[in-house]
Amino acid sequence: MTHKTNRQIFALPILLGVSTCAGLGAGLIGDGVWDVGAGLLLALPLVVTGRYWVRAPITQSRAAEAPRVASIAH
Amino acid sequence: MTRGTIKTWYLVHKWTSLICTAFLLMLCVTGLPLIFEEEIDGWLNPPAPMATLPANTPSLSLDTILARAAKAAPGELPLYISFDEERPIVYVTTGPTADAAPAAMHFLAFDARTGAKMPPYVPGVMAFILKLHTDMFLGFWAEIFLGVMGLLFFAAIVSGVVLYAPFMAKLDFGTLRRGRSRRLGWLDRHNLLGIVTLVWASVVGVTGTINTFVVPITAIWKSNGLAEIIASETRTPLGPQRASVQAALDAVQRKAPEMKPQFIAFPGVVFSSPHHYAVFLKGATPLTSKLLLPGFVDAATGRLDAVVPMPWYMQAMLLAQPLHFGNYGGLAMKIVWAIFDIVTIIVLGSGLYLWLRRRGGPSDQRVREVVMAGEIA
Repeated sequence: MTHKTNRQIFALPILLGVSTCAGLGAGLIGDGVWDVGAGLLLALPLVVTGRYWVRAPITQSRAAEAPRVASIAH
Repeated sequence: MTRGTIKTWYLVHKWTSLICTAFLLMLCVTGLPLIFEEEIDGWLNPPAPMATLPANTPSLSLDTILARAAKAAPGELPLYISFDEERPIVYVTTGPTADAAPAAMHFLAFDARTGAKMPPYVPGVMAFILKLHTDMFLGFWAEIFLGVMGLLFFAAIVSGVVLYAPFMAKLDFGTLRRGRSRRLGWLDRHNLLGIVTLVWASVVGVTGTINTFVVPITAIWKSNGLAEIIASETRTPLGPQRASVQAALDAVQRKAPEMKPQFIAFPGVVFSSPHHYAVFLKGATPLTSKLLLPGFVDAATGRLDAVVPMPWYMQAMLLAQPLHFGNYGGLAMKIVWAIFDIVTIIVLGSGLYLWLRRRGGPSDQRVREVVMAGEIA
């Protein structure tokens, strides 16, 4: 496996960070629909994390083997 | 990134984290119930019932309310008047002197329409937790110290993000290697949870630090911006005869009719000058309600001296408060805040665990751990 670029490494974290920022700002701008939007935008990083946290171990173990195999192959 | 660079960032991450972790854990744990302070307080201390009057019943003059307060707290000075956001209640804070410590102050509540005295505010368990969270009951310098811990926490976040890049060079986002060593599992979780809470933790950390500097920042504002208003002319010393507070509020409100009063500071307190009633108005939207507009009225003559917007650093300080408390977006936002807080506790705890269970050897070994994504044979 090749090295990832910084863009690949940080693409998803930046997206989640932008979502957090937008949520923090939306709550300040207004009430009602703005608060609903703020809640959803702020919840997005947590939902994504939950998705990775509980992912079935079977796909995990396969993905996890890859770097080790790669480091032997070098 | 060279190994030397990674080592430097590793050492920054290690030391900033080690110094601040214990305090940050305290702040996260005490902060968790504080997110729901309003709900818990309302539940432990249900609001007192108020007389049912027609919706358009006018409020009494603030001068009448002050006269009632003077009877209720004889011999004390009024220090602040503030207004309830939801119900027609006026709060009057009194104290033995203008520079009295908060513990020596009295907090009175009156029905704004009838002047009836409401049950007094009793500091309960939430006030205790807030004090612990703010300065651990150790006063001003402890508060500043916790502010510095917030800055170290921010440095730990930044250095953690820098180390995230070489660590994740060969891993997919969110990789959790299960069924391997327990330490490797927690290394992955620390990285995942750390990177997704990065923005929230930075904002809450930095705004928390800003909040600890309220007293010095306000002092700067008073010595710069307020100095001109205060020192514009020699003033007659304030005698027992004071100008009407209600008239002062009306005069300031005429300058900004769309705004509502937030609080009034009396002469000599932190938020005013020795001679003025400082009337603070707030806007109507969530954003502008945090940005206060002060007007200064001579407390002897009743003359409106100035209505001046606050300088940028005061505005930034006021805006930092909701962003730290997470209390501006309803219950949904509070729940999100609580989950982020718990995740931050896990990041802190796992970081400590990873350090305690580190393998021996020089710190170059840690650098290898970063670039090999924890796969050191």
